Amino acid sequence: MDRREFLKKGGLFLISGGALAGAETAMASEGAALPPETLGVLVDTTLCIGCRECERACNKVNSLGKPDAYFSDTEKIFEKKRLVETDAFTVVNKFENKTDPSKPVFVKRQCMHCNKAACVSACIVGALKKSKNGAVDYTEWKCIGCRYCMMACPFTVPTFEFSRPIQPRIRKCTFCQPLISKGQPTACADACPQGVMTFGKRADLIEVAREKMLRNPGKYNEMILNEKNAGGASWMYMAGVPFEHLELPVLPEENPTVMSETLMHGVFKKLIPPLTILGVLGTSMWIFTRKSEDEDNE
Amino acid sequence: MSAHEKPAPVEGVKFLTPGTIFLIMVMAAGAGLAVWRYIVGIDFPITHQSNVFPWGIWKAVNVAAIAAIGSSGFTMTAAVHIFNKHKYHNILRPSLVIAMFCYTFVGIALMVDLGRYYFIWHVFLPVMWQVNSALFEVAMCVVCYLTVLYVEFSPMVFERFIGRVNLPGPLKGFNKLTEFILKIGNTIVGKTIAVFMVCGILFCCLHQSTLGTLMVIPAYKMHPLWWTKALPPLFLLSAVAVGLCSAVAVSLWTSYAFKTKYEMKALSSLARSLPITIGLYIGVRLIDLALRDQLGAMWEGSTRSHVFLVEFFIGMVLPFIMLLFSAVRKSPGLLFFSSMLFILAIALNRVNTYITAYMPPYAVGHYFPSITEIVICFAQIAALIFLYRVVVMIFPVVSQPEKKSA
Repeated sequence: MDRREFLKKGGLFLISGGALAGAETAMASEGAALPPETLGVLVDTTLCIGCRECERACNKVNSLGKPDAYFSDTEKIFEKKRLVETDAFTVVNKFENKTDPSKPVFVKRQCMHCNKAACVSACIVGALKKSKNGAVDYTEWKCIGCRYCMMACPFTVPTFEFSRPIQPRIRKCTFCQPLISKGQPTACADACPQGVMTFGKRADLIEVAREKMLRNPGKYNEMILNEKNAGGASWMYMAGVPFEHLELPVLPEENPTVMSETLMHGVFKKLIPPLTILGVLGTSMWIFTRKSEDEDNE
Repeated sequence: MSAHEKPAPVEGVKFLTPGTIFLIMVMAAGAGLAVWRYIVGIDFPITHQSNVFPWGIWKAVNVAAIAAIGSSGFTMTAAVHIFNKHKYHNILRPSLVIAMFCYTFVGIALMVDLGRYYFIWHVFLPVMWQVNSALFEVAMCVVCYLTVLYVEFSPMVFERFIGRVNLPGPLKGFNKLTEFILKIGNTIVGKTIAVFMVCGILFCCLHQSTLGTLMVIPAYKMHPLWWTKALPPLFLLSAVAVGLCSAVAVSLWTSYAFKTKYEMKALSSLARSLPITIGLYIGVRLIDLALRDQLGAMWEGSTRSHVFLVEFFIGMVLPFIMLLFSAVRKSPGLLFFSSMLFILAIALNRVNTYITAYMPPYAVGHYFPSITEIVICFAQIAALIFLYRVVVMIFPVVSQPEKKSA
């Protein structure tokens, strides 16, 4: 093999590869802190009566096509725990109250719109993006249907239209992006007759929650769910019973998204690891080939 | 390499053996079901994937496990061309061809599994690059490495056809042109192949480890026996070990199926590296479990812990112990058995990491693949073996004693 040729070509390759990976690391470091305009919703589960008006409003605003009559059922529907579906971006479930059985707890589920969302980090084509106002947006035309976002989501939120052979979509709560970007609250928060959901800037909502706790000592858990869990989320919950009883995942503070991205960027850090591998391989090749050439000459 | 041996197409073997016919039947069944999949989508009952279990065996087996088995290509390239161990030369080509088909079928598996398979090219558009995504890195490196594998395969094509181009009928006029193109290709590849080899090994190190990083992000949905931040190095170490095992197994199986001689001298020598690579993997895995204080989890008595015991002790520790003995390394049967055992264990490890360990909230029941998923999965593996057989009979892959008369 022509070694000079090899070195020349190898050098060219390394330089172009280096430029590429340099661009990669630069892109990866952006977007660390949460913008102050990030919106959120504070869900006070102690106020919810299970009327499902939020579900009805969500169905309407997103044109999900469920019949109106479906939402009038506030008895039988609660016999089974429901998950968010491709045609139901939010669902209310009823949970037994272990401290006061006369007061069941109703909990609304939807996308949490995480601050540093796993789905956004996982998406291979950037079809999921965290927008400045806090919503995790889905861009349908980019999506290749790999469903890695669903694997990544710690809340089992994104759903996939498995039944569509062509153009299946990821479906999930949009945080009513068309409404909130115009300064209006989400359809569900607007429809709620009990004021369960407080819509506003995320930072303010934390204050609201703390104040509620101060005014009603002992009524609430000390933790505001998703204030800090796994890096925090736009949708936060308050409850009077342990969140575990409400089947709300209580995640540790360490964010798996950060773990994964640290590993990913560690591998490419300033290109040192890949270049080291290339260097070691190239040098070994050179040394070992020369050694055997010497042996051949003997 | 022995002076009297040269890679040549295998001759004098009937193509359609009962085994080959069985492969064709499996492939036909898979192809038929795949048509159904494209008509109705990947919903129940075609697959048992759901909103709660979004990934099934098409990702776990046909992507992760098959990519791991395809490590034979880069490990043997490193052994022969980086560390210049030319005594393994006879094993290199079969392992390259197997790796080439493994990686090709990774791509095919994605075309079956993706919901919007026809948009797979979005991954290559720089405007859509999402560099935080582990899956993105896997996709890029797999495509780059697949290119490398085709380049590494091309010398076998050149060898076969240069000086022998004989196009049928009206295409005869292009004989000279084709010959010329092949010769140019041969020259270019010959001068640059070292770059491809080195880069191919780099791509493999990157994406084999990233296949592990893929499952880091569902951290809180994963069983502690498989989830660790050390998944990337574990996946890389196991890829090296399983790559050598599959090189050994493929060589032995090829000799058995085509009745050529077993490369026992080279294989026994190569097999001496197996206890080291497998042992290293087992060691790191145990240390990781110990550091995370999860060693006890394997005795917890759940189904998952039982699967772990099978994977770890039967699939990994047993072949490790077996391969410590030179009697095992020198016997074709035992060597094949032990390396095959480790290959299956790593395949099981990938399935466990992607499926068994996955414990999403709100899960009702477990994921178990549907008949369609299983048939399509095995049809792809059957096609892989079938294509290997075809290539071995057409191209100079297997080294055989040189014929004097030619």
